[in-house]
Amino acid sequence: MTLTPVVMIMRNEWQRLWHARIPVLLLVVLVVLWTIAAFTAHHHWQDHAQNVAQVTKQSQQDWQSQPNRHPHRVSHYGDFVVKPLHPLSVIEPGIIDQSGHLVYLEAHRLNSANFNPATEATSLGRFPLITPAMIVQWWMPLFLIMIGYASITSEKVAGTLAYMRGNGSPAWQIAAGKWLALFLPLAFLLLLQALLTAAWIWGTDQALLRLSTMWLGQMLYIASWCVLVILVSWHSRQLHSALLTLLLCWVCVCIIFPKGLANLAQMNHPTQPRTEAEYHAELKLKEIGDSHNPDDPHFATFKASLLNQYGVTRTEDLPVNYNGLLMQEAERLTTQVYREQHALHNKQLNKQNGAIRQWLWLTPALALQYIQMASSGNDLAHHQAFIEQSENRRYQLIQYLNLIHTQKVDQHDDKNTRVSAEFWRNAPRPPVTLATLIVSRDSLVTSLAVLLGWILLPVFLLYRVWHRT
Amino acid sequence: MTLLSIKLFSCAFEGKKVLQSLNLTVEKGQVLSILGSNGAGKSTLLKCILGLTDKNAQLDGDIEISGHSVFQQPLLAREQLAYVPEQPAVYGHLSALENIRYFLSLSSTSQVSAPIEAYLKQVGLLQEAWDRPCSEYSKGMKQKVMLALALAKQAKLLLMDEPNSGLDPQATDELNQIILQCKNNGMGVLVVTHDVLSAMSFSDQLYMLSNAQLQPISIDQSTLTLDNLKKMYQGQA
Repeated sequence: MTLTPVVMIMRNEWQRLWHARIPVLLLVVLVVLWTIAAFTAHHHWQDHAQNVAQVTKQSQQDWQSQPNRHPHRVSHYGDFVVKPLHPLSVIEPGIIDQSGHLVYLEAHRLNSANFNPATEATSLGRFPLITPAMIVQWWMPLFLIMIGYASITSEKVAGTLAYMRGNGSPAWQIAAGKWLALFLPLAFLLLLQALLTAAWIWGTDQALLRLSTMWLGQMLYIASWCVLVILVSWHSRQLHSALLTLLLCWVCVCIIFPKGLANLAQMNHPTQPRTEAEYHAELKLKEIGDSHNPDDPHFATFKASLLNQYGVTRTEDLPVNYNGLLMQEAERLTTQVYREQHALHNKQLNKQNGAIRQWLWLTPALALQYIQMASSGNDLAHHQAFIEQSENRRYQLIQYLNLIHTQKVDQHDDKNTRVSAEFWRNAPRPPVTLATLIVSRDSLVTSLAVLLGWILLPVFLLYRVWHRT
Repeated sequence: MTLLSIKLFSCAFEGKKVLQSLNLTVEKGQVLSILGSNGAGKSTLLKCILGLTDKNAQLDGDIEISGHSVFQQPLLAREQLAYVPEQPAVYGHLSALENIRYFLSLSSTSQVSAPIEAYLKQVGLLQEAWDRPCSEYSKGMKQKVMLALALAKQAKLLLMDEPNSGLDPQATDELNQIILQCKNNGMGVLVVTHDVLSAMSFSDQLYMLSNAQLQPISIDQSTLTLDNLKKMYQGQA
C-alpha cells in the first residue's frame, strides 16, 4: 500500500482550497471565533474561580469567628460548600450554570440545586455562551461542511474524478486524500488546543486522563464529520445537493436530535419540581413523627426507650440533654426522608440520561457533549457525587453539633447556655473534592462507542461503493 | 498485439439493452472510431471499458485491456490506458506542468521516458503557456495537456470521448495530427466522436453504434454520403 498518491491528493486539495479563497477565509473565521471563545470562557472561569475562592474564604472566616453560643444556633448558622471546579471547565462548563456550584448546609434541610440536566444540558439556551467545547461541537462541523461539501462533488462536476479513476487511481486513495485534507488542519487545531490546555492545567486533578479523554472524543467527532462530508460529497451529483444534504445532517445531529431526545426523556421520566418534592417530604415526616407533639407515637416510644436505658422516669433526670437527643433523632429521620426524596429525584434524572443514551447513536454531537462534560467534571454524575459529598458533610456536622448539645448543654438551663467556640473550630467539616472520572464511565463508554460507530458506518458505506466499481 | 478486447458484451439499464453482444478489438498501432447518434450508448461503452459503470447496470460478457479484465482486475486494466473525457479534466488552479506531474504521481508510472516538457512540445502546446494556470486555457489547450499526459504515462491504449467537440478547424486539425502521432508511436486509440471527417482522417476502422449494436462502416468517401450517414445514424442502413 503506497501512501504517496494519498498525500498528493491531500496536497492538491489544499491547493484547490487555497485558490478558492473562501475556505481559507472560513478557516480564519473559525480560528478567530475559537480564540474569542477561549478568552471569553477563560475570563468567565477566572471570575467564577475568584468568586468561589472569596466565598470559601469568607465562609471559613465566618465559621471560625463564631463566638461562644448555643450549638443549635450554630447548626442553623449554616455552612457553605463550593463544588471544586476542574480547570477544564474553561473548555466545557457543562451544567454548572444550571446546577449551581454552591450549597448551603444547615440542620433539617437537604439543600440541593433545583435543575433538570437532561433538558438544560442540551438546551438551545447554551447558544449565547461561546465556549471552546461549543466551537468543536457545533461550529466546527458547520465550517467543515462549508469548506468540504465540494471536495468530491466538484471533481465529479469538473470530470476530474472520472478522469482520475479512469486513469487508475483507486477510489480509496481519492477519498483518503480528501479526508486527510479536511481532517488534518482541524486535528492540528485540536492538538494545539490540547497542548495549550495541558500546559495550563498540568498537575491538577487527573489532568492527563481528563484532557486525553476530551481530546480523543473531539478527534473522533471531527473525524466522523469528515467521513460524513466525504460520503455525502461522493454520492452527490450537484454541488448544491451536497451542501443541502450536509446542512440537513448538521441541523438534525446538532440541534433537532439532542433537543428532541432531551424533551422526550423529560416527558417519559418527569422530575418533581423542588417545591412539590419538599411538600411530599414534609407530609412523610409528619407521618413518621412530630417531635413537638407529646402524644406522637414514634417520639413517645423514643422517649420511653431512653428513660428505660438510663433507668430514670423523667427526662429532667437524664444525665444528658434530652433536647439534644431529640435533635439527633429528628435529624436522623429528616435526613432519611430527604435522602429518599433526593434518591427518587436522582433516579428520574438517571432514567432520563439512560433513555437518552439508548438513542445516542442518532447524534454524535450529544455524545461529544457527554464526553466533554464528563472530562471537565461538569456532568450529572459529577454533580450528583458533589451533592452526595456535601450532604454527608452536612449530616456529620449537624449530628456533631447535636452531640455537643446533648453532652455540653445543661438541659435545666438549655436556652441560656453558651458553649465554647473551640467546638465549632474543631467541628468535622471534611473537604468536598471533585469526583474521579470513573463516576461518568457509563456515559463515556457509550459516547465513545457512538463516535466510533459514526466513523465506521460511513467508511463501510464508502467501501461498498468502491467495491462495486 | 491486442490491447482492447470486447467479447459479447451487453449492458442494460432496468431491462433496457443499451449495448448488445458487442465484439471489438483494438490492436497496437490501430485507431478505431465509433460514431453514433446522441444517446446511442457511445459514452456508456467508454464507461464500461473504464470499469466505471453505474451501480444499476446489468452487465454481461467481458472487456479486457492488455489481457486484464476491467471487471475482475479494474486497477491493473486501468494502468494500461489513458482516458481523455469530452470536457478536459484538468485542475484550473494548476499549470500544465503541475497537472501532468500531479496526475503522473497518482498513476503507477513513476518513471517517464522523457521530461514532461518534451511531451508538451510534442502535442504542440505553446511554451509560454506551460506555467500558466489551466483556468486560463482554451478547450483545445486543455485537450493538449491531457494528451501530453497520456503520452507521458506511456499508456498502451488511449480512449477519447468526443475529442473534437468545441474545437475550431485549426485546433481540430492539430488534434488529429496528435492522434496520428500516437498511432505511429504504437498506441492503440479508440475514439468516440460525431466528427465523421476527422474520424475518417485518422481511423483505421469506423464503427456505427446504433440499436445497441456496432456496425462496421467502410471508409470510402463514395459510400459515406450525407444521405447514407443519415440512414446509418437512424439505424436504417
